[in-house]
Amino acid sequence: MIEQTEKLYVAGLSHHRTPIELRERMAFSREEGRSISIEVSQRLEQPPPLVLSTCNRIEVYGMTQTTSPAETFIEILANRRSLNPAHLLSGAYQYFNHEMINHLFTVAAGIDSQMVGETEILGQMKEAHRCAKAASKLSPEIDIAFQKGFQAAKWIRTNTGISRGQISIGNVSAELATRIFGSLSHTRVLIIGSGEVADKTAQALISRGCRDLTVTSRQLDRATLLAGKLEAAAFDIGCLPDHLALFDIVIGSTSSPQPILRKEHLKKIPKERTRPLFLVDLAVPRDFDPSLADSDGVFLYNLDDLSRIANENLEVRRNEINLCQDELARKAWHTWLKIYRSQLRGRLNKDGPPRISPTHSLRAG
Amino acid sequence: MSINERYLLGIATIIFASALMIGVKALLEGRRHSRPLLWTLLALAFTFQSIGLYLRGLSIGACPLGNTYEILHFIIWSTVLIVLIVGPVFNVNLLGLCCAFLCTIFGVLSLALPGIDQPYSGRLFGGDPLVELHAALAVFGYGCLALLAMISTLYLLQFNALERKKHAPIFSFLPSLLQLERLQARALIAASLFLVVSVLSGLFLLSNHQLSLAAQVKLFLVTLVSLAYLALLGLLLKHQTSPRRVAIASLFLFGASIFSLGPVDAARSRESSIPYSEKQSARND
Repeated sequence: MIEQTEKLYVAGLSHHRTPIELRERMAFSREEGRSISIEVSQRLEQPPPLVLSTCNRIEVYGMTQTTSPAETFIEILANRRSLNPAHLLSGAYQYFNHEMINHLFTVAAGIDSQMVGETEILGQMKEAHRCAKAASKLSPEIDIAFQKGFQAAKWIRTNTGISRGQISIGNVSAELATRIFGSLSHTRVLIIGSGEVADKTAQALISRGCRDLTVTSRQLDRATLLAGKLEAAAFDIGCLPDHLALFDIVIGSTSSPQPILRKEHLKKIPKERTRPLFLVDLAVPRDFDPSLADSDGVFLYNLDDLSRIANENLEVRRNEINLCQDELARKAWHTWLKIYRSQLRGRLNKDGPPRISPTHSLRAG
Repeated sequence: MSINERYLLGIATIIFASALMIGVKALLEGRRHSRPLLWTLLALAFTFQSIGLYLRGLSIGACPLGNTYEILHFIIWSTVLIVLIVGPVFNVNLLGLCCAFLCTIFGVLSLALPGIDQPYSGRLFGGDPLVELHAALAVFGYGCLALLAMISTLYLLQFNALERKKHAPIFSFLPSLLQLERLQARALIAASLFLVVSVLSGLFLLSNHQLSLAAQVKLFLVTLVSLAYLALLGLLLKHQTSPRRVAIASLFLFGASIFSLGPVDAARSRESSIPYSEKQSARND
């Protein structure tokens, strides 16, 4: 087999073996990422690599002739944060050639993420790739690997169930709201409560296009505070029965020991109002009387219902992992062969016929 | 009867069934079906059906609405025509698939049920273009009713899934309740409009022409169906009923209106004396 001098590599730390306490100390800005890239490049005597930094991973993708780029990368990180490199190295990993490409594809498709199938990582990788290309001369092998990685991720999301369904309570609520109302841009949302759960659910609805939000709470000052953050309106909870008919989606997340919304409140809704009413009860004890679900056109979901849906979706995603990994491994192998052939062609043009090494197999990289 | 037009209508049914299978397969795999492929198949089947009905129309010298077989195919044709217009405009998920389902069922029934392609005698509609227009309008109204039934089915699927907290990928592919409610009201208005025009034109014809027994039975049934749908529309517009109840009633009424074709066919059969095939051979001679 032909001897390969320059290898593709990835080295880094991820949520699998590095605790959050260490990962949060490693977090760096785009500018610092650029300077780390240059430092790695100088140490490995290669073009500047691509540095990816997210909440769950810090990775560097590049070309190397050494066998331990992870050590170099970790040493640089540890020096910058005044940490013991040995402490970080225990959780570090490195992959070469087709295994590097396979890792890249797996990360891009969201298979390696903490929330399996999440799509945010793809955007972060695209941004890192764009920045690396803009800042320096990214090696063509890494460029091709990333572009193929984006294509593979798209294929996986389109053709498998890895991104199917929502797995957070806020997003599950937003998806159910979409099934009832379609576009959320014209729906009116009332949030009862001013805690973190209410905030996150409101954010999920806003991300789906919801613009008309109102907050109410047993403490009006806290409701006003959250309303300010969400660019929403606020009113006193005493007015709730009179204002209920104005809303399409009502989210309850207070710590009230008694139900805030009961069946008699629905009687105040005029008959002319034909739009469905979606009640999302995120509180324990419950804010909405369960008998509300018996009313025509009212859809009541409590925390257990939403958690069950989220867990079902997560299970579906987990069941898809093996299928995705097989497909990604196949695509990674083809990409690796393509890159390897182009490397050989490049070297052939530069140095003449390649040397043949009987001891290295192509698959071993 | 020409073998060609039956063959063409058979091909159209096979294409509807193919579209249905492709869509169902995708849904069972938990993914969206290819919309361009589905709409292309529907358009292709519609083309075959149009040619088939045109050929039959040529052979009988009128709009082919002479027996249950022809009426079923004309309803399918009307339904697909409406869906091909409404579907892409309102971007209703799964409407095309639902249409493929209905057309497959009707197509298979029309081809498999023995005796529904009864030969008929005499000149269809007595050669009166007004009668022909009235009949075509009525059957086109049935196409609107079929659309309403499809929308109602989608609505009830989504509504029950939300109410019973069922969570499967198929429900995410269904249109939203609100979108279906709006479409339901529009389809109900369109269907009522066609039926009312058809009934009024029928009553006008009844006052000026000697209508056959079959035509009178048909007019009576269309009037009943129209009144039922008008009542439903009134209740919906006055907020006296919920969209869910309208959906259930629409499905029930559509089933009843299709079954009412039986008595019409029976009345027509009693009137027939000269078989259609004999008439054709006489024309060929």
